[in-house]
Amino acid sequence: MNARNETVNAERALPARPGEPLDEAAEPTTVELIDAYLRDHPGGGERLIPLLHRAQEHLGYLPFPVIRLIAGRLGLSPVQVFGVVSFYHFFTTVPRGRYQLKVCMGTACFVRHAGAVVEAIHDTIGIGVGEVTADRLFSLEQVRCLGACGLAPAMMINSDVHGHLNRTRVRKLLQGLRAQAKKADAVGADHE
Amino acid sequence: MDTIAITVNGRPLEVPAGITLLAALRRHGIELPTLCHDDRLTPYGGCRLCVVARRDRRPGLVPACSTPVLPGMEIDTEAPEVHESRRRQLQLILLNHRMECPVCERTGDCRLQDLVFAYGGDESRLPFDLVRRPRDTASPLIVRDPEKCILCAKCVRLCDEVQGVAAIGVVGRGLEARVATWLDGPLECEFCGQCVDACPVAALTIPSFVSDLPAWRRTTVTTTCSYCSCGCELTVATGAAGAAVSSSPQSRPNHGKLCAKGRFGLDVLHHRERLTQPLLRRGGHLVEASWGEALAAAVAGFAAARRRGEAIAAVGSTRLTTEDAYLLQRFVRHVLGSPHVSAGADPGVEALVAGIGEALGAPRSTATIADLAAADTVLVLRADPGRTHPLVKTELVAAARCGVAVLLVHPGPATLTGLAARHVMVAPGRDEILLLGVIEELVRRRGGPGPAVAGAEGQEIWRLGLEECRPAAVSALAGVAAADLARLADRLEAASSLVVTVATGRGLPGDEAGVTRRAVELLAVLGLLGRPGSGVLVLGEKANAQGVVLAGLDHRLAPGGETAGWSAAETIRRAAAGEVGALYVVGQDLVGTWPQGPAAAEAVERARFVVVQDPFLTGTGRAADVVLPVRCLAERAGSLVGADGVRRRLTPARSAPTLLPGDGDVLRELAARLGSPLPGDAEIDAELERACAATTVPALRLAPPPEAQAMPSVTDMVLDLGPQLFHSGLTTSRSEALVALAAPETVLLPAVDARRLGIERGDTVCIRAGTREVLLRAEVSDRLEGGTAMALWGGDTSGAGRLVVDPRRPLAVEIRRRP
Repeated sequence: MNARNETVNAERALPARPGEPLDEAAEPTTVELIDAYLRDHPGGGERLIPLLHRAQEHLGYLPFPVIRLIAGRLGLSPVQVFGVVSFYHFFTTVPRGRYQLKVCMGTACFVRHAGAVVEAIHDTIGIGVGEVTADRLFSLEQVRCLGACGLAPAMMINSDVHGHLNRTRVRKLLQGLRAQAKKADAVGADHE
Repeated sequence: MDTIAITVNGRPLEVPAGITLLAALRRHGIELPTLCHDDRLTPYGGCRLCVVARRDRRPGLVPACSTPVLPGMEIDTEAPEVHESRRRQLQLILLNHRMECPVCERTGDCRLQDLVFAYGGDESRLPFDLVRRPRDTASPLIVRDPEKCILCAKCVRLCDEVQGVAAIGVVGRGLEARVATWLDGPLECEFCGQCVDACPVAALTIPSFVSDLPAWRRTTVTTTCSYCSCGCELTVATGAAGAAVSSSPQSRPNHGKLCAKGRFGLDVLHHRERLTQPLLRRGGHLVEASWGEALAAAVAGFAAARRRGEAIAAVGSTRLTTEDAYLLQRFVRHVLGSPHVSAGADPGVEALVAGIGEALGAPRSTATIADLAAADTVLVLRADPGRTHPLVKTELVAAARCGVAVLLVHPGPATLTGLAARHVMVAPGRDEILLLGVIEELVRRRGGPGPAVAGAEGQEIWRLGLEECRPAAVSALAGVAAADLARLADRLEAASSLVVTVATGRGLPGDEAGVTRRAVELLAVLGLLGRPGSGVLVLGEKANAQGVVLAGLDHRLAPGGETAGWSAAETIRRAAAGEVGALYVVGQDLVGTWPQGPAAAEAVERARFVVVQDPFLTGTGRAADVVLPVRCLAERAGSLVGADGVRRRLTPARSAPTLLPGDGDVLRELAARLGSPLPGDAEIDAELERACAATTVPALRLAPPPEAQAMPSVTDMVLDLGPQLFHSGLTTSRSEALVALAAPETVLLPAVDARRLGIERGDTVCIRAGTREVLLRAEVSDRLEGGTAMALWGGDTSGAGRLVVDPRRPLAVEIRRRP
């Protein structure tokens, strides 16, 4: 054993996340979703990426049991599928929020104080970049240019672009979304 | 093949079209540096060291390994910009490579080091800190050091493309990219170690073999693997501390592939039961004796038995060299004057002698391992080759990817299930009747058995027997739907060439010889018998099953039509009845081997005089009168004959713990002392060469199907037994490395039966057959047919093995949850 090896700082690329059941099977609804997709789209391993899209669209992220399930269905090994998931920025194994905030850090936004937008988000809902609120309502990421430099500083919330942001606008936007979610949940509860 | 003209370094060359530039240049002896290229893998183009300069109409640097060769290409392999590119590439690789060459165990044997010597690149001017990553030391046998990894991904691609396992993958992107296992756990794989051989640097190493000597001071010996009958060529490098096993891609028949046993199983040589001194029974106890005393005692015992006119019997082994096997049968037949000599109860010998030998007149396979890749269809019978003959599995992985139809007949999930074009889940031990059903179906479809069968011996009875093998009857017995049987027949009928593999392994219920005969008959009915590229490949369980048979070490192979002697089973029966005066056991542990163990213990007890010759002190040895220690196969010179009939040289890879003789040396000495010396090496060599080269015109003899009462219909649960990949018998049980890898013995139950019996995964279940019962932990699988349970047994001391009385019969068992 080499002394240099002893000092190596363990830097695991897979963040250990408490509460993530690694050994558990995927939810039955997810299994059904994946099997339905495979039934409707006969073929082989080329279905991997569309299937990952479908699963992430449904779940908001790709839990490890789902990765293992997809691998098994396509005759691949789990680490092969994780290789694909970890290669593409779009895929995530970390749960994201119902509202995914993507703050543009492109040049135009950056010089127009995109950093302040990130700070405002943190002040309003208490999360930093790469984090999710405890109620999984919001998650925050940085992205490169959104192609909306005229609106700088800008961010996307799910598929909508919001521009000319400042602290106040950010706070109002987020408070509005929280109220909207509450209302939608209340309506949903009434229907049940 | 079309050829095209290109110019390389100003020299015009003719090269085949449709290959890569790298392959084209190598054909003309022009070598290019590579780090990520391996001929066994699809081109990757990752390391960019094989770049060459194009000087034609599309100038620029191109990677030769992944550029197809095109007409009119003008290539410069040594241009200044080519060298500069390689140097810069090496510089970038070294940026993120922990350089500790003076103490690195690969120093002197490192591809990266060689290339830096050749092209430079060690003078990096970029400020950059090594990305720190922990070493994986949690995996058994293999250590992964990501800080040395240069991401050539050869390990990842070999694991997937060659081994068909994909236990590791490249994860992440850019600087975060690394080779990882699923969830960063320890390696869970077949431990073939192909990744270690392929690694150009020291990112993958085998710590137990880390030598304290640099590469250039180790001695290397290239020899033949002595585990299974594939005959893999391996290289043993011996340093001061230990030995490392590797194999080069140029080796044949294995192309650099080895399995866990071949690579890690060498530690058996140092097992604590290894004998160094002869033992002699004195006053009821075995005590150490000199060679002179021990040999004199053995000679006296044999001579006494001969004088008294008592039967003398010998049991050899399929783990003897071909030469020693020849000497043993010659010694027993000519010196001791007894016909009772066999190689022990080896299923491979049964398949060869009673299977192919009876059907075609010569006890040898009619196909080779190389035929697997060239065949149109491969029918896989008996054991799962992924567990018993890993080389064959890797050949089938490659073959299946090239479009070869692999048809698998196996009672449960097998390592080949994923790549098989068809997997017929036959009831355990019913493969012979299934084949008869297929043959009957084909004969009926074709309106007759075809010309190859028409003139064959025994045809009338065979056809009568076949009448009983209609789909409905076979379907009920074999547990295979008639439609599945018909589909299997369709596939076989469509085959333009067919290789049938009969992998033998200990514990598989069923009749090897019967299955092998049916395989021959199937080929005959299909009109493929004797056609090049088609045939039956019998994979013997132990290294030299084929060689021992060719050397005549079998009770049925008496030269000149003398009366056949006793089989090992018959020898045990006679000895237990007190009818054997002297018993000579060579390289075989009758007592420790299941299922005849208890009967053999009595036999060894009742035989008047017992000599055991073995590298280890076995159960049989403990009950013997004289124990003669010899070298292990890996310490022997001689030859082994692989399943493909090729006689391969065996070179001593390690020296024996003390000065020990080989089996042949002992036999010669005994013969000389008994007054009739054995023939010299040259004579034996010529004899064996003749036996190996002999070609006989196949004369088909048909055997009547087994009678119906021998095949009771399946009512109870039937237990299938099979060897594990890492551990399959007495030899592996002496390897610490392999035993540590072996999974604890479990019984796999079909989900439907588990529900019915109220058994859940992890429960301890009681399995009863007759009056014997064992307790095993249960696993539940939805991939097993109802009524079939599977146990992968862990060697001769295993639990489930003790249930077996007659391995040729399906094993009916009663399974219940332990109260």
